[in-house]
Amino acid sequence: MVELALPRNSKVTEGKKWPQPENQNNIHEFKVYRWNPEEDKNPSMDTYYIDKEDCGPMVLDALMKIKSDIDTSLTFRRSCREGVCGSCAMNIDGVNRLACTTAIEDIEGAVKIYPLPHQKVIKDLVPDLKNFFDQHRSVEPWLHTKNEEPDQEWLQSKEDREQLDGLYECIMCACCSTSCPSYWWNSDKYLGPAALLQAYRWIIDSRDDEREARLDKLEDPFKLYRCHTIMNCAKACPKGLNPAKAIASIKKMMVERRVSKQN
Amino acid sequence: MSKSPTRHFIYQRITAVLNIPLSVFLLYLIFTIPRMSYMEVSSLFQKPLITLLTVILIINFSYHMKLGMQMIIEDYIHGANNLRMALLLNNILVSIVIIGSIYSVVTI
Repeated sequence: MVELALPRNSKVTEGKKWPQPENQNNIHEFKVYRWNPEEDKNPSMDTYYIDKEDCGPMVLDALMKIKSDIDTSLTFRRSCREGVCGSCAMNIDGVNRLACTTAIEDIEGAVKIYPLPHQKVIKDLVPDLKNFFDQHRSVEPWLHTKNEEPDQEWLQSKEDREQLDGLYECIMCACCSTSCPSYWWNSDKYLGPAALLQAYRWIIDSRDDEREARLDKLEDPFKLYRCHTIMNCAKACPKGLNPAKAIASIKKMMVERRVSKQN
Repeated sequence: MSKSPTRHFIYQRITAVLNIPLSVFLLYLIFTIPRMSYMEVSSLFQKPLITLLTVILIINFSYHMKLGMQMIIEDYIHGANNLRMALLLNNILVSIVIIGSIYSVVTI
């Protein structure tokens, strides 16, 4: 049944307040979610102060500054630091986004940073994304073709290639899926916006020969139809993609297929 | 649980679209009936067109409600047994609403 309250050990408490740098005018406050599975403690919000004159402009710069200069135990994922890898996705100031492409000065007041919502936390800002990537694998995001493999690349027309624009750019950061309430309630059965965007990317690929089989796999009350067009996914996507539109396109194909079968 | 989710999706849209003209008819009834005597209301519902439209309205609204409630139940009720029981209750409730409402209209 629905859980209306957090379990007692999930309530977030006030954490450690680290000292503020002295004689600095350009100080920014950061409140960061902390939880260590090796300690028998509730999660807490630690407070850090960063001198903006001595730090890069992005939230990821501040997190790296905290880790290198203030608190080496702070744990988070990061890699490319330019919005390509999707590793540093987290909930910043109430919105799922990439720490590397979020400017500190765009956030008013203290910068509150949590891990991506409604996922199990491994440590601090690191969520467990195993289920998320398993779901991505389940849509078989690779080419299924019965044709003989060409000597060079699989060719397609310019128009067919344009069909993939707005789909192939997904970096699998999980900002969309973890912002979706439907995914929060049924992430074990609903594939979520990211996996469905990828499913559609392969369904409409002109070189793929398994369109019907791919649609058959999505003919399920939970995998596809838990999307209720809430649109949080489109709002959260740091690459400006629209997974809700891709999901609507899959539903449209499902309806057309059903209607044409009946006629 | 819906055995054919796409059919569920299609019926949800069809009943939603049908609800628009039926809502206009419902508004007509809501604003007309309070000014009428019992005998006038009784004779109104003896007109075949009014009775037919009211029966269609009851079935369409109730079926749309059933589909929507099913969606909400599937979203929030977890566990196979709880889900099956909630969906069964939903079907029973909607059947009672449809039968009771149609009986009231045809026997007025």
